[in-house]
Amino acid sequence: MYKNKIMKHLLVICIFFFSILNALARGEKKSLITNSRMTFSVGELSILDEYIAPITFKGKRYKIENVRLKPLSFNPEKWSRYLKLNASYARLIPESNTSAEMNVTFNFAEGMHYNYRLSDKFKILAGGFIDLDTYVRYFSQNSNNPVNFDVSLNLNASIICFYKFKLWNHDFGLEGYADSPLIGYMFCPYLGSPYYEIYSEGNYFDNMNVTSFYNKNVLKYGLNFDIPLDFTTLSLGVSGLYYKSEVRDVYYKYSNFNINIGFVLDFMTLKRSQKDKYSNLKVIYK
Amino acid sequence: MKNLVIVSFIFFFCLSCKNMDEIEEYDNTNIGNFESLWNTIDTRYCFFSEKKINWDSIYYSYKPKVEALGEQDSYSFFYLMDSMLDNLKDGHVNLYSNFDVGKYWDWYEKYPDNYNSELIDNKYLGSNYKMAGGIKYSVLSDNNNSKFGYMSYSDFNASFSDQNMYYIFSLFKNSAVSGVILDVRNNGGGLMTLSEKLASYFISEDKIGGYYRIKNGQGHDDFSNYKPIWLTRSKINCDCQVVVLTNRKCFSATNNFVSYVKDEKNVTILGDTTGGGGGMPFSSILPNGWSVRFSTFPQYNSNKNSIENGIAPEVLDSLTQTNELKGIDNLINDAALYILKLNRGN
Repeated sequence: MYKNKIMKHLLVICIFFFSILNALARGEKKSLITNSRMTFSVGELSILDEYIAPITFKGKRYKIENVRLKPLSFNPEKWSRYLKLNASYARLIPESNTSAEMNVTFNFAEGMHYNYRLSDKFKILAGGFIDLDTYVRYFSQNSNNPVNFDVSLNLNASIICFYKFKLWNHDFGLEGYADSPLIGYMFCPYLGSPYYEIYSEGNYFDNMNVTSFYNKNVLKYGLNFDIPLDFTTLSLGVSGLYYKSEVRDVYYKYSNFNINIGFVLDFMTLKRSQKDKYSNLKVIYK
Repeated sequence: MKNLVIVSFIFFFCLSCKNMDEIEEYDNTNIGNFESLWNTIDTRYCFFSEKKINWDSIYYSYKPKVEALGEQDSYSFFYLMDSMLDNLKDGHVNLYSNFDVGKYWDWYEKYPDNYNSELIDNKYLGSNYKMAGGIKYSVLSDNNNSKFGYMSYSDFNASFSDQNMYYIFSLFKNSAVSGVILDVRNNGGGLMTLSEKLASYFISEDKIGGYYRIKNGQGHDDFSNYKPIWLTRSKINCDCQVVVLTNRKCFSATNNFVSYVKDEKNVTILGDTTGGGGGMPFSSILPNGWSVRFSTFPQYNSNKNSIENGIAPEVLDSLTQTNELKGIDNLINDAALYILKLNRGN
């Protein structure tokens, strides 16, 4: 009973948060500049999921991600909207090499940050976002439970730092970020509850659990080096994810380290009639 | 800036405030694999109390035997682990390696078959039987020209649809059968959802077919409350006397099906006690890549009694050698006679 109450409160908070965000977004003028970072990552992933087996699966993970930052119209100097979308694929095998796990994830996040411009070169964005994480996992060796899915909704704290410096008459940049969920709601069955029972009996909501620091520690981080090119900005960097949870006595550990390559674009959409009006527009993220 | 520092400090402090216990990962050695297997069963198997198994004593009994084996002797280690798992006396417990599958078959090997598939194919189904979905069916006649619908269903992995059942029951109705003989002998199980679906065609109303309990902790007796298995009566229904033929090889989903329909007024179970298999199977993997299957949650009948050890028939019957040699499956014949007796009584 209390779980349903918490879920309802969490959903209300999410809906409230998104409503405010959307209301603010509707007020966005298309003349404001969007900073868009598109990256492709390759890295090593290891997962230890006690629900499947008490052994670690390791392998290569490929991820594509787009992160957008756009000033909010009510105070474009201080507030920005954050949007993230990523998808990844990994093929993992245990040390014995007798089976394989195919792991596909999707993540969507939306939030806002407060901008602290500490100097002309250094800026910090601090705030939060709500994200929806979904995983689909297929295990070749598990005939009784071959396909697992996981979903979680989280409220995250987020910090992004930008540092700009001049080198050889060009503006280079360093971007670092870290975020971690403060509270969330995740799907996690008991050790003794196969997905077959969940599917056939429809016990989806019975397996949703509240998560916070006491049972789930997650840190996502990254550092990117932005190199200006003639037509765009090249981004090279590293990123990672450290995840440990113990929900319903089911231990889960996930760690990932990636090399990223991507492009950063600053753009705005203008109507033809606006082109002359915004010819001297101050660029927020430069 | 000061506020930012404070917030950051709280942020990262909170990250470290819960030091979760790491689970043990075992080495890929005989001892490591033994510990992993024993621990997996210890924390996740569901019938220790019901079967009065002292799993701790099994540990102390087998560990010295594992230590005495050489690391290169995979075969001996496999069969030693298989013999350890035999102590669970569970047909749903298997150990899978690249060279063999460990199994426990005492639940049917120690008992007569009470089934002869050649006899059924040659003398009862013949070459004119029909197939709808995974069900073979035909209309049988006795010497007095009484007719009976006969359905043979041997695998709960073979699906069937409402349309299939409609045509089966239509043939029986048009043939004015006195009743239906549903033969699930030698059906070793399959999908639980199909056992619920098949039961829906033979129950008189929506009802709770049985219960199950989820294992919600690592202790041997950590279970949830009883959760009901609801059965919804299908619009396509038999509406006649049904005799379900069973033998010891009726296991798992078949065992569930028999449990669901046993209490129905128009259904009679005839034959031998079913083989059991009331645990829902789940799998795990050992460090050496072998996988182990085990029962993870128990299922019960509508009176909350365990069905792990099988379901006794209402009419105990067995296939005699004399009849078998004469080409007679006396279980089918007795089922037909029973249907006629029930119809006369009504």
